[in-house]
Amino acid sequence: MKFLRLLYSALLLVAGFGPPRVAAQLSPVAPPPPPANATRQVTVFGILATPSDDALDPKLEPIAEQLRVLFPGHGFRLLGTETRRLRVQGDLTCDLGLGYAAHARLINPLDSNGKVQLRFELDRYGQLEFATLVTTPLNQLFFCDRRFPDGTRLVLGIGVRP
Amino acid sequence: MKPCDKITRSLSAGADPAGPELAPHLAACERCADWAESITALDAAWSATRPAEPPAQLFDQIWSRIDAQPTRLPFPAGPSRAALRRLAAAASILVGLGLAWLWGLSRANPRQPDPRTSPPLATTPAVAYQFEAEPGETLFLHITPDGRVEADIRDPATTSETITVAAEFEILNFMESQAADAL
Repeated sequence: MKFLRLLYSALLLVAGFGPPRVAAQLSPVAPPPPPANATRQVTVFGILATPSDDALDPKLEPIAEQLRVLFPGHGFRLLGTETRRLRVQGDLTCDLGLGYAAHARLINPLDSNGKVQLRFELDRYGQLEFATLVTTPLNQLFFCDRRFPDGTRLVLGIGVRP
Repeated sequence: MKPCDKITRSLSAGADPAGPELAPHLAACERCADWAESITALDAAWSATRPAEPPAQLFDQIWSRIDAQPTRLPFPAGPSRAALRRLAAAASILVGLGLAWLWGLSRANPRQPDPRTSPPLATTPAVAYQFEAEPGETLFLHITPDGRVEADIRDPATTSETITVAAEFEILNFMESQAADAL
């Protein structure tokens, strides 16, 4: 019985502490508490930009000029676009095809500088490739482009409206 | 079986070549006669070189010494019951520690969720990058083919490869309407 007690004590001791946990590489950011019931119109879109190919997806005709300024010498094809009015911690997913999906989460609809804070992620078949926290003014796009070895770019645009 | 085969077997088994069973065949068969001659020569060589027979009483002496040995082999003294209990307890503790360690590892490194069924953003790791854009700037985040992330902030006042906020607003409106049309 003495040894059983010793064994149980040892098990509890080890289970309580366990092996060292895998520490996160960077601590998650704790945003300030957002205003209650605030919502924002969040839009995420994906465009495939191909160098040395000036083919333009007809769907993108209205914004061809702007795209060519941003990515000169590229052809463009719309992969997907999603928009949704999000509450705080609300998610939006834009399926881009080829296994890629872009996710946006509204973290803070309005910070002390009048900006909005989003968490943005890109994954392929559910495997996270990139995650970032972006603070940006309203009505202002930010872009994220995933470059491939052949020069092709998966261009993602994210914007928030009031 | 051929007759020659029977003869060579008998010769190898030690039969007398001059005996009444083998002699007639050996007289008529040159091959078997040669074989019989080889066997006889081998026997002669063995008889000439064989070691002296040990005396018969030597085997008796050896057997008597074997019989004099104890019937049970000397076996090292086994562990006492108390030692066995301690051994068992130590083994139990080791097994327990191992199980607890594995349990702790499984808690520290939870199994990767099925990417196709897990909800987005539900189990994602900490954000590795943070960026902030100022009014009028266009923020570009480039993910290079080898996984590096480079930030590029373009200001219309300093570069031609960017667009105004008004143009961004147009793109945003356009994409919003495209998404709404798709619904």
